[in-house]
Order: sequence, then structure tokens, then C-alpha cells
Amino acid sequence: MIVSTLITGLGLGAMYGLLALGFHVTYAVSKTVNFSQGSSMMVGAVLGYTFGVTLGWPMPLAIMAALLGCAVLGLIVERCLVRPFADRGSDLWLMATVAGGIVIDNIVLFTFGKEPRSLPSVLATQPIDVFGAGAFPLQLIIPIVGVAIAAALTLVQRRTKMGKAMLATVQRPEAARLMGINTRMVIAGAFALSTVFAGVAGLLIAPLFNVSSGMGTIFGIKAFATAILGGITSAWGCVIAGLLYGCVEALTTAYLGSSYTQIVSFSLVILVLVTLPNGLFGRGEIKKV
Amino acid sequence: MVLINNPWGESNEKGLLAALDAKGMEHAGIERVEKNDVDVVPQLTRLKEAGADALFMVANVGPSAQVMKSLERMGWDVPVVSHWGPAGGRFNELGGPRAETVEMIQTFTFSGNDSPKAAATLASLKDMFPEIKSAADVTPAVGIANAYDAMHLTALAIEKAGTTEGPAVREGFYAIESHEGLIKTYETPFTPDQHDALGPDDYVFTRFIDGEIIPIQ
Repeated sequence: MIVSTLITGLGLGAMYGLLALGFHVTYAVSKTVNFSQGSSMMVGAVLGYTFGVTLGWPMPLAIMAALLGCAVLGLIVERCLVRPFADRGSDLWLMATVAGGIVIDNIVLFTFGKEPRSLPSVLATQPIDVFGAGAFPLQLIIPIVGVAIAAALTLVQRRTKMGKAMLATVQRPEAARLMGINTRMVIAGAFALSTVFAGVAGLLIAPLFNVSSGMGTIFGIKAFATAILGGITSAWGCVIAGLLYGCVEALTTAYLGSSYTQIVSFSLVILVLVTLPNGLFGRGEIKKV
Repeated sequence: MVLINNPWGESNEKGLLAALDAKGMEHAGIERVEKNDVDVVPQLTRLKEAGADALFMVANVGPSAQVMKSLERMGWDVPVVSHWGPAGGRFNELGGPRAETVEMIQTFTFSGNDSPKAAATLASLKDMFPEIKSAADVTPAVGIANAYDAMHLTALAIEKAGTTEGPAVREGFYAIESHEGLIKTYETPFTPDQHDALGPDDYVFTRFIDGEIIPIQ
């Protein structure tokens, strides 16, 4: 039972981690987050289905187009739901992005329909044997993709000019602008990247789950819990916390019963935050006075 | 039992436990699934290890499909009997190859139904909704039939009562002698001791075959 439970937990956890990375990316450059991440995940899956199944495009092209659509959505979210409030020093972007997510969900409900659809994939059809437990190949690929994206993001943040520009934007926006960094573009790019991460999560989970307008809501909530658990300032923290959270969920269900799953997993988040306010891997902000 | 984690699942749990009790049978376990559960292998593994030799499922299309996908992943070939919840959408598309093995309890299907009333209703539905090409496009047929008959029986009761006042309508229901409905011809469907117009003989087992809900013997 343990192998099959861990496969379940790691697959789900990697998805939470990917979405949480989206929260991390925007927070790291602007101290704001997009609370419609769950909806962005859904948009990725819906666009993938529309291009690949409804319109019959080749799947690689459909995936690229879906991710491009997610990037555009991220730019719109930043421009319309975050920037107007952040520029005024207001925190109302929080409610604006929540409301934006509800609007997106309902637009898709009316255009895509209320019935869930299946996004077929050869990677989620025939289970393979993993140490005596059955697993769809896609379940093994999702954690690898999650870790690879976290590694690539860390590399970009630490070793490239773009990464330094992101760091400068959040530390001293005025100084960054004086140094020629287009901080608005950096922040907008971070939002686009965050929705692309959500889109990747949506496209990866759709063949194992389904495609529907309401699919992202609960994932978005759990991913934010994961980001807080891991420490929203740490990319690796988000991914590791995602994997941890997924495994706790699966192990609780397997050994205590499904009635206890949400109680135990969310209690864990509260417990960690009480003892480690910055999450498992996050660092507190140092302010010079 | 594999039950959706909401009041619907809870109400079915009470009914199923009472039915098991009446038969002197025990259950291997009761597991919950959430509306957005991606993978229910942990729940199913618990039931398997508890010795379940059949599953009774109560959930809508989405979670039911996830149960079937998880069974496929586990390679657990166990009979699944279900509430008609999965009949309301693209269950056979979402649930993968195992979806066709689920036996759903229903009171009505258009497929294999040679009653003139069923044929006339299907023809009317096709006229009204051009997207309906065959019986497979009418989902859930059982929900439509139950609502259709309930509406006509209620109209009859109000007609007999001559008012929409509650107690009078109740007497109106008792006064219905016969009504040719979609599910069956109702003969004195309601009495002070009998408030359910459908009985054990009105239920059929069905399966999704090639996208269509077919009665099985």
C-alpha cells in the first residue's frame, strides 16, 4: 500500500508545488500574488482541450498555444487586477484577483459548458508496474517536471541577468529603474510566468482527472496553503512543501481514512505556521531602519 | 461503499446500512471521495485490504469516473454497482475502459424501451433540441423520466384538488386512479400509507455500452 500511496501523493504534490511556484514567482518580484492561480490552471487545461481535441491541432502545437494563452492571461491579470491597486499602495489586488478568478471560471462555464471532458493521453491509459503498485506513466512524470521547473527557476534567479533584475525589482524598485531595469516589464513577466506554470499543471493533470470550468478552485486553495507551508519566498520550499502536502494527504487517506484527510492536512499547515511563521524554508524579511 | 463526501453521500450511507442490516450483511468499509479527487487509490486500497468483494458507489459523473480510473490503475477487477449519478454525462468518456463495467440502478432508459410513450417523448425531445440525435444524447434519461412523471402526477393532483393548497393537493395525489407515465402506467400510485409511486419492481440495472445506457438482464 505504501508505494501506491506515495505515487498518488507525489503526483498530486508536484501539482500543488507547480501552482505554488506561480505564487512564489510573483511574490518574489512584487510582493503580490495572483489568487486566480487555480483558474489559470483550468484555463491551461481548457485551452489544451479546445486546441487539441475540439479543433484537432497536433498536441505539441495545442500545448504551446495553450501555454501562450496562459501567459497572455497572466499579463491581463497583472495589468487589470494587480497593477492599479499595487501602484496606489493598496492591498485590494487580493480581492481583485479572487474576483477575477470567479469571473474567469464563469466565462469558461458559459462558453465551454458545465460537463467535464476527458483529455486523452497515452501516458494515462495503461498502468505500469512500479515496485508492485500500478501507476500511470504521467503520474511519474509530473514530479519530475515539478522538480525540473523549480531547478530551472532557481538557476535563472541566481545565475542570469533576468534573475538579478527580478531581485533588484523587489529589493529597490526605484534604484532598479535608475539602473535601466524596466520593473513594470519584470513584474508583468513574472505574472505571465506564474500563469504558464499553472497552465503546465493544468495540462499535466487533465489526462488523469478531467477538464471542466471548476477544476482549478480547490487546487488553487491547496497550492496557496502549500506556498505558505514551504515559505513563499523559496522556490524549492514551494515544491518540497507541495510534495510533502500531497504525501500527507495520501498517507492520511490510506492509513486513517478519507474522512480525516482535510482535517489532518490543513491542521498540519496551521501547526507549521504557528511554529515557523515563514514556513518550512522561507526567510523572514530583513528591514533596515 | 464509495460515497461522495456531502449530504447526498451521507443519506445514501444511512439507506445502504439499513438495507445491509435488513439482509443481515456486513460491509467491508465506507470511504469518501471528494468532488475534485484526482486519485482515489488510497481509499480503494483500504477497501480492498478490508476484503471488499463488491463496491457500491454513490457520486456524480466526475468523481465516479475517478473511481473507475483508480481501479484501472490498481488492476483491481471488482464489481461496481452504482447509484444513477454517473448516468448524467460523459461517464464512459471520462472513466476510461472500466466505465462500461459499472452497473447502475435506474428506473428508466430510452434504449431497449419499446413503449409508445417513450418513443413519442424521445421524438419530441429531438424536435425541441436539435443537438439530440439519439437516445445516447439524452442524459440522464432516468432523471428526465422521473421529473416528467412527477410533474404530470403533480398536475393531476392539483387538478383533482382544484387548488394549490398543500393538504388539498395531498388528497389530490391520493385521488389519482390511473396515469400513463413515461416510466410506467401508475395505478393508484399514492395512498396515505404509500408515498412512493415507484416500487422495487420498477428498477432496472443498466450499463454504459458505446456511450448509450443499456438495460442488462
